Order: sequence, then C-alpha cells, then structure tokens
Amino acid sequence: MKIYKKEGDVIQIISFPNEIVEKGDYLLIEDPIVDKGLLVQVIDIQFANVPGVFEDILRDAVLEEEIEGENYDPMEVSSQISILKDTKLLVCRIRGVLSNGEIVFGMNYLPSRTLSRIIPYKIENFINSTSRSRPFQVGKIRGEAELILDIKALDGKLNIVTGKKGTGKSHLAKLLILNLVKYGAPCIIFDINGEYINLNKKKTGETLKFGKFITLTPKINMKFTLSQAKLTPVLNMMIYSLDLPSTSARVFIKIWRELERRGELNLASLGEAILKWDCHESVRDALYARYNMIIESGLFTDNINESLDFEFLMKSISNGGVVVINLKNQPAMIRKMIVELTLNKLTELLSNWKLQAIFLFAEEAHLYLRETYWDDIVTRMRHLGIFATFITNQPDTIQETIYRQADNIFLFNFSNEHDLEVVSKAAKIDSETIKKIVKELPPHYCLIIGDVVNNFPVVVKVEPLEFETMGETRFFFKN
Amino acid sequence: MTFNLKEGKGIKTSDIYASFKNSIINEFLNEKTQLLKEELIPNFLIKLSDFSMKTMRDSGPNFIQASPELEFDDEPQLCLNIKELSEPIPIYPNYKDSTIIAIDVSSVKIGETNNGVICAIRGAVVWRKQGEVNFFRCGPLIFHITDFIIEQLYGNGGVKALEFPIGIVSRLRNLLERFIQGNVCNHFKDSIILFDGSLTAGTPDNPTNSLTQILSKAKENGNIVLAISKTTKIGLSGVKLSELLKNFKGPCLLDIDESIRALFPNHPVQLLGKVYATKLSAKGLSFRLDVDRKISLKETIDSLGKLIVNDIIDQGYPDTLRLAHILSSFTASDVIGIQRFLSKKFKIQIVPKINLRRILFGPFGNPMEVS
Repeated sequence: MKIYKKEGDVIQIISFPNEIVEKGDYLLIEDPIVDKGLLVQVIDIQFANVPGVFEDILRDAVLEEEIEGENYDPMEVSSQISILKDTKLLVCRIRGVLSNGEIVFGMNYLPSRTLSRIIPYKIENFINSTSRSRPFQVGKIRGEAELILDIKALDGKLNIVTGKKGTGKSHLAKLLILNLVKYGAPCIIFDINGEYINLNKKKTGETLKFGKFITLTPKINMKFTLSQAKLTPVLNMMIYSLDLPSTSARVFIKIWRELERRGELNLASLGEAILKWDCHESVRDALYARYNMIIESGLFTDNINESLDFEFLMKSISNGGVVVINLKNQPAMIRKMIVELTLNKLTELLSNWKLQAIFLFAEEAHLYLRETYWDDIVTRMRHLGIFATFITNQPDTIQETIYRQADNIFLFNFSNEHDLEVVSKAAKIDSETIKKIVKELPPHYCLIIGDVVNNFPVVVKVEPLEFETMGETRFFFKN
Repeated sequence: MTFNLKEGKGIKTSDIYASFKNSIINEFLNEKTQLLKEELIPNFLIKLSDFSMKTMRDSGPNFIQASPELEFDDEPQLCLNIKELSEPIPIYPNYKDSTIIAIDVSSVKIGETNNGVICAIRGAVVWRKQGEVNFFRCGPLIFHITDFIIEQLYGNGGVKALEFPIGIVSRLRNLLERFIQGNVCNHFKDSIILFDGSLTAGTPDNPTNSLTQILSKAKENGNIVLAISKTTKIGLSGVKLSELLKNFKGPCLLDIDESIRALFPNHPVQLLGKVYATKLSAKGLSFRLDVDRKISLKETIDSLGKLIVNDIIDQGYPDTLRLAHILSSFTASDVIGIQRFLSKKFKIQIVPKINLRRILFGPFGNPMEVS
C-alpha cells in the first residue's frame, strides 16, 4: 500500500489486490521520520485510475465478445498487468495520530509518501480496554476479532439504533438490554410489536438465570387506581394524549382535588362529579368525553387488588430487570395514553429519588411519543435519570436535534438516499463516512459511532442471540 | 537455428526464414486448440531477451521510468506532390470464401537504466475464416538494450550506425514480425495475408532478404500479401492520402507506384511491393497499399474483392488488422505492469524521469514552445 493523495482529512491509498482491506477497516500509516503514525479508516474502496486501464478493459471486452485465441507470455508478465487492473484506491478518513502509544484526536500531519509503511491496525486494541469494569461482546470486527464494549458507556447517554427493516436493529437492542440487566440495570421497553415479551427465554426453552423480566399488558395487568396514578400524570395524559383544553384542565384539577378531599377519588365519583360540576357546558362536555375515553382505555380501575403499584414494580427491577410494556394491538390513542402515563410516573419516581435511574428502550417512538417529549427526554428527563435508546427504521421521524445530541449511534444498512441524508447529519462523524459505509452494510452488520467505541467508528457484525427473538418477519410461504 | 549467444554470432535473416519451415507454429495454425506455445516466439529472441535482462543487474539500483506515450513508431513518412493521377479502378465484391490473416507487432519503451534502454515487443496474429475469428498473441518480450544486444545482433564488426535505441528496437520488432509473417505465409494457403505497414526493406533494421523470402513463400502457397499502411503521408498537391479517393463512390484502387518509386533510390531502400492507394469501403478512408510486385493487377483487384467480402471493413480499414493492432499494442497500464514486473524481479527502484527543461525553467519549460 502506498499513499496517493491527501486532501484535508481524507487520504487516498493505492492498494494491490492481494492486500485484503474492507470498508470500515483501520490502517496505520507509520512514518519513520517523525516517529508517529496516522490512524485512518477506510470509508470507500474504488478502482484505482491506472493510466491505460480503460484501453485494457476495452481490449478485453472486444476480445471476449469477438474472438477466441491464445496468449503466449514466456516471461509471465501478464499477471503483473492484470494486477494493475484490479488495483484499488482506498479512500480513508483520518481518525487520529498515534504517538507514543496514545491516540491524539484532531491532530493531523502530512506523512511521507515514499517512506511511510501502511499496515492494518487492530482498532479493537484501543476500544477493548482491559480497564473496563462491565464488558460485553457486541460482535466481531472483520469477522474474527471480538469487539468488547463497556455497558457503562450507555449510562447517562442517549442512544439511537436505526437501519432499514430486517437488518437487525431489534436484535442489537435486545443484546444491549440483556447486558444492561446482567450488570444490574433496570430497563423499560415500549414494545410496539410484542417482540420483547420472551426476552428471558432461551431458544432451548430455558429461562434466564439473571434479572427480573416483567411484561405489562394494558387492560390485563396494567391498570391503575386514580389515587395511585395521581393527578399530574393523569392530567398530563389528558392534556397531551387526549388534547384536553387548558380551561377544562383547570376545572379537572378542581374536581380531582375536591374528590380527594372527600375521599371519593374513584372512577364512578369522577364521572358523576364532572356531570354535576358548576361549569360551562362546553367544559363539561370536553371533560366528560375524555372521561369516557379513560374508562374505555381499561387503564384504570377502582379495584385496588387488580391495580398496579408502579413504584413497587420499578423497585423490584432496580437491581437488574426489564419491564416490557406490550403495546402490540393497542389503538394509537391508548398507546399514547400509556406512554404519557408511564413517563410521568417514571419522572415522578426519579424526581423523588425513589428510583436511581432507568434505561428506556423505545421502538418506533414516533408512533406514541408526543412532539414535545423528544426534547424533554434528551434534556430534562435525562438529568432525572431516564436514559433513552430510540430504535427506528424511519430515521426522519427522529429530529435532527436528537441526532446531534446522541452519544451513541448504531447504524444498520440504509439504501434509501433520503434516509442516508438524514442519518448522515449525526454529530461526531462526517456525513461521507456514513453514506459510504452504511449503504453497503450487510444484514446484522452495524456501524457504531460514539462514546461506546471511544469515538472510533467501527463496523461490527452483531453477536447472535440465544434467546427467542420474536421480531423476525413472519412469512406466508414456508420454503 | 544457428544463432549462438555465447559465440556472439550475429543473426542472419536466412536463419529466420530457415526457422519457419520446421516451426511448431504450423501445428498451432493447423489445429487452433493444440498450442505448443514455446515455439510461437523464436527461441533466439527469448534467449536474447533473457541474456539482455541479465545485464540489468550491472546497471545500478535505479530504473528511470519512461512516459507511456513513448511508443516507437518508425512508419515511413513520405510527402509527395502528385500532379496527375490515373483513374481509380473500382473494386467489386468477390464472394469466394477466403481466409483473412492479419499480423501486427508493437514495441514500447519501458524505461532507462544507467547503461541502456528497456523495451518490450509483442506480436499478434488474427485470422478470420468463414466468419469465425481467432487470434494468437505472443509476448511481451522484454529487452535491455545495451552494447551487448548490438553485438549479438550485428557482431563485433556489425552495423553500429543504427539510431540508438530506436533502430535496435525496430530491428528486434522486425525480427519477431518477420518470424510470424514467415510462419503465416508458410502455413496458410490461398489466403489473403495482411501486413501492417509497407513492403519497403533494405534498412539495417529491416533487411531485404527476409521479406523477399516471405513474399516468395506466400506466392508459392497461393497467398496474396497485402501490406496496408496507416500513417504514410502521401499527398496530391497537399491533399492527404486518406482523403485522396474521397470522391470515388465505391471501393477502388489507384496506382501511385511510379510516383513513389521516383522518390526512392534503388539502393539501399527497396520497394518490394507495388504501391497503390486504396479505399475499401464507399465512405471509408483511403490507405497506402503495397502488393508483391510479382502479383498481377488482376490478382490484386481480385484479392481486394475477396477482402471486402470476407472481412469487416470499418472506416475503410480491415477488422482483422484492427484486431491484430489492438492485441499487440501496449497500453499505459501494460507499461506500468512491466515496470512493476522489472522492479520486483530485479529489485530495482523506479524513479521518475528528470525533465531538464522543467528543472531549469519551471512552468516556462514548455517543450511546445518554438525556440
């Protein structure tokens, strides 16, 4: 390999066919004169524009189509000429400078074209730090080397997992969740397709020996009494999920407090109070319409025995466990109500230090998360201790501001130019790297960007899971 | 083959012809699938190449890169001022089946060493029979042109007046070309054989004897040799040869032999063919055509009639000859590949050629400038 050109932080390297290099690989350009090395990542592989190669290929094409014949090459020179046709041009991005065993970011220099030695560099050596206290294997680099990350890199962070359908996003999310649980972290999942409900069951039928796994299904085991739900979560649910106008909200607060004072805070009393309350007809109608929706949602009950003690539930997983909120088959309105209520309850518990922190996994969050929540999650809720991971196959449903604030991004294949354009705006990495690498990732391969990989973008084949995945596409034809 | 490198004996053209008769290339041509490749290039050239390359080791660690465009081209450049022309003779299609064979050999400069020049040659034969096209390509053969090669080619008291290195390269190319032409003329019968260039001989790099024997053998086997030249500049009061027959509607032939002959003294250069200008398709270009002097005009017209029927004529040029040229010619990547081969085999460093004008005058060292 030889340096051909350097423009800004892009270095072009000439590589011969026998030198096996793949997109995403790291190379070290060692310069003996300055005694340091430039660490670069291959982001694109092209054919080198060797002079005369067009004529050569044209000649081959003409010969292949038109005539048959034999070549006699007594000196066996032709092999060298053929090599030239397959000579590659590696387009590489500079990721840092290796000096005295340390990598320095943002530093750059011009290495010697003639004296530099270019060798493959095992980036996992820098990422797989032995000092990591909570290691987990996310997959393999170049099909052989294990990539060991520290689960702590997800702690306090905002993560995005995105890629087109069927590339392995949910698979990776499950891997992250299981490792979080393994190290004693509590997780909550908004499961839109019901694919996380068997997360603790191995394909062999065995159950996991660590962590607590609880699935909540609305109307079945996810019901609240009004007094357990509390005013603020219920009110926010009515305002944001059921579009309750502010005037009506004020009346609702008065009714709620009155019923509380009387010790009659139950569904029947609430309905009756709304009908009898001294207020404008339109306010009463608005409140009663929302009341009916609450009743129909099946999320509330007056029976204390069938109600969910959310605080107790969350405490039960505080040493490692998962609460899966099964949103499968739930109408859009109910989904939004559940999410609103859950996030409010979580915020309440975290604000009161009844919960240390929680890792939230939200699949296709745009289907149930209200607009104003996105910023709230990455700012206020993050400080309270809700560390979100968004999983989506529609990257444009996540706002650009969210991408910019994401600490870790796990990118699976995207072939659609628009999708690539959206994800390429992600911070911490140049858009060209994303566009060139992500477009050609095979299924189950992902480009990891961010703190979790010490800010060295890495292409990894995600580790297979031995658990019931449930997220695989269902087919009609069996063979 | 009498050539012996150790003895330093010069190569005689009769040796080349002698090698045709028993060459196994005949077997290859008899049955295209049974190739005995080792015999497709004359052994003496392989040996010469091999010995010359051994002198690379004495030429220092560096190897100066040549620009790929420096392909040797020593086609004769004639500028005539023909005032009166006879009427072109129309060529009518002759639908009798005939095999068309084309031969071309190319050479290229690869680079320079401390004591010489490195060049490569490659030859190709293409033949079209009843619509089916086959080829045989040999080379590249690489030579380190030093005093050693000159001695081998011309002996101790041999010709030293050749322009170095172009004359030597031409001689090596000519040796391979004549070898292949000889084999083809020896093997094929009743065919049309197309040579690239003219039937001019008698220069140190292109001796008369070998060409005479080749033409004689061709005639003996009922073959017609048509030498078609692309680059000869012949003009009618300034009009290029390629434009000369533009106004004639169909394929035609124009005798310009006397006009050309008048320009050549009888010695040393000899025109072994009769020189024509010909146009092989209605809208094609016209080219110089040399035909063995012993072939009658009727036979020439007849063979051209067969050529336009049995070959594809694109822009007035036979396709088999075009393919032979494509196969033999060197591209820039061929040159780079050979340079890489040399650098690996002889462990030499390739260095760019120093451009003195560029060093002295920088951006003002434009060689296009008239001094």
